[in-house]
Amino acid sequence: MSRRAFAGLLLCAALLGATWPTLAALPTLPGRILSGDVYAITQGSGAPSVNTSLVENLTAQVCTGCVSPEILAPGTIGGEPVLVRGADPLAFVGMEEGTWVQTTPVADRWAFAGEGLASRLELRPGGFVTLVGSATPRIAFAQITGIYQTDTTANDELIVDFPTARALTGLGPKAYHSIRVETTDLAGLLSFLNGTAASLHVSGPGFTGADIHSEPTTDERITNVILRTGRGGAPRDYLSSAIGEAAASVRVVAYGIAALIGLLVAFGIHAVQTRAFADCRGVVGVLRAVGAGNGWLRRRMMRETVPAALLAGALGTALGVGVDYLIRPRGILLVFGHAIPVSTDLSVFASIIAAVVVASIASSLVLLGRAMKVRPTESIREHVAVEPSQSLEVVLRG
Amino acid sequence: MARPVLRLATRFTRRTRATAWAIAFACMVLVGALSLVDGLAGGVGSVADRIGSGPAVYIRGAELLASAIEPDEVAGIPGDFLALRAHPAQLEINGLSLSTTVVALETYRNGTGTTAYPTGRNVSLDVGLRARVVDLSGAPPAATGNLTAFGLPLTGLPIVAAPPSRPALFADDWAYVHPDLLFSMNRTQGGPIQALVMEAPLDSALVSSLGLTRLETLGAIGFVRGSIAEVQRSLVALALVIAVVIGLLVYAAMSLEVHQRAGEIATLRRLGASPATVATVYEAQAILLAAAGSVLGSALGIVAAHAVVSVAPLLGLPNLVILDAPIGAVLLAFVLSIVAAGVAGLVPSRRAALLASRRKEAVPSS
Repeated sequence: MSRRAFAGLLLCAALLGATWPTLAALPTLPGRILSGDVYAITQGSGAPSVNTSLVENLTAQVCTGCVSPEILAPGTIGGEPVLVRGADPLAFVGMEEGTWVQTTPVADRWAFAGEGLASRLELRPGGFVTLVGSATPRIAFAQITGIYQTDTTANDELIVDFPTARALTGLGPKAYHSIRVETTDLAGLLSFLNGTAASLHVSGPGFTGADIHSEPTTDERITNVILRTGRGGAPRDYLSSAIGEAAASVRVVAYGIAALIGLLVAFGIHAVQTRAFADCRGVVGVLRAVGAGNGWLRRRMMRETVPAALLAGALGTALGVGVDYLIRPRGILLVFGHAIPVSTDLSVFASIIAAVVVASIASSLVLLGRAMKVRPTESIREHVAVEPSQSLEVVLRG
Repeated sequence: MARPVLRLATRFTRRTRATAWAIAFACMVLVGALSLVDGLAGGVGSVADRIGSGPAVYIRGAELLASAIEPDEVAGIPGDFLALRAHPAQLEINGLSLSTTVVALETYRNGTGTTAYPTGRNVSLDVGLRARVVDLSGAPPAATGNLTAFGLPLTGLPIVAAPPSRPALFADDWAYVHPDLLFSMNRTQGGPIQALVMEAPLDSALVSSLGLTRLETLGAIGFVRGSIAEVQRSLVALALVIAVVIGLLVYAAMSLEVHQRAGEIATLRRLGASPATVATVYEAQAILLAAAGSVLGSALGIVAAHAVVSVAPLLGLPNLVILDAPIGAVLLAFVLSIVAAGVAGLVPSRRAALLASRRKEAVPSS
């Protein structure tokens, strides 16, 4: 493989490396926001069950670690989308393995901003912000009482006291949207929940989810119901349905864009290899003239293509991820008010290298196949590289 | 001269046709991606429009507390509305010091503002703020309290009952005062209005002329709309990548074209074409390549976006994407391609002009 072709493959892999990990991380974002790295318990389709009583019972269980009841109030601050979360700040920041950057004395009302959000919206301890209701039209104000830092999506959120969160969401005095639970004994947790009468959904990282005394969520339910009846007709487990629906819609857009970029890269690889193959096209004819078989030629092509494509794919992916890492702090990659997390999924990086190698092999085989269709004597004959001179005369004559 | 130049510029070879296809694929990615995201915005918008978003609230700027609308400006606004003044404050009562918001409401009818409650120096604590005082001190609010706003403390203010009525839009833990009290405390900060609250939206031309923006008070809708706007902003990065790709493609193709057509350039020079004319031929060819590629790519992008949305439900991914005619995306792809190709074609066309100058010098005059 020529240096030019290798550089082209490297560029193509870099384009995939800069975009695919980000696009792959997008659909997981709604789930990460809800549960993070722990298990999240949300309301099921039955009677309201996510409340202070369930929190107390969960806290008393041996199988559970830290328990964090939470209220989610998606809204805007200064026109920018921000997830406002009603939570106990100590439990929440502890669960996110965060650290406190700045705090001021706290009374009965508080608002702690994640460092990412604070730097993006220029929030300072002591300053005031306007909050808006999430599910009901409302205006409220909050004073920033501190800033925390985490390495998770929580770094872009605002944590407020429960009365403020309830005012924003219209939730009842003892109700919560979700309860996040740290546990190493998932079976024990599910067994306990099954033993109660609560109607719940349980979700978490690497866990397909469980429906406790509840019908499973269906993606169509919430949109159809809202379109048909308005906001009041939303099902009780609208949070789980909405998360599922948001994830599906984001997945369609993200995977669609990924497929389009993949197609562009595949054609780019083919274009680069076509140009490189044009220089050694005659060699195929010479080899065939001296008795090389088609199988031998294909194996020879693979031996030349695969190692170079693998190397270019790996280097290009690293280059693309590096570029992605460089532009990320500029804050241009935000979705749902959260910076898109850096994907550390090795399967994504492997799929990029595999895509480059497969496209390179497919392109090589197509080019070789075309060259092998030409008679050996034809393929080694010198051709004029440019259009015949009479074409210019024809053009000038009009 | 324009006609021969155009004819020469449109003389596409197999290589330049391949470049046009490559530009088309790049534009397809851009138009397809923008169509998908715009479609998601459209789908979410159609759901959001079905949900009542409450009263219309107008502010100046992005943050209500930083908004400042002079009372003179609102006198010409037709219909009835509420003028809201809101400022952070510290309330001292029952031995407590509470951070709260002091608010003054003025009802405007036919351009005239009036405030019925509270009057004078009275401070009205809403039900939520009263409950907060009771929770923290274990006693009902005292008859007097101190209020600090704009750094100015007012002591011994009479505490009166909660407002008899207020819009459900407002939180229930605010302290209400008369607008004149705020004005007397700080003429500069206490005088201007922070927000206008009305049942029906204002005429967009009036909103624009007053320099106001609507505050989305139903946060879920604002959140989703804002989130999609974030994705649309992120796609600017993709547009820049596409522009670089198109530039590189055109540069590579035209450089090779100039290199391999050196003989033809010499012939053109002998026939009397100036170096500028030769450069124009190759610059025009670069732009034509980009134009053809972008038109083709836009069409492919629209088809690809529709294919993705149509196939997704069959793969178990029902979604809210509602595709519309992507006029903005097509225009962006077209302009981006032309500009990128125009810039990238400058170097090869200049090289062609230099080649033409040298050829002229090399040709002996007969």
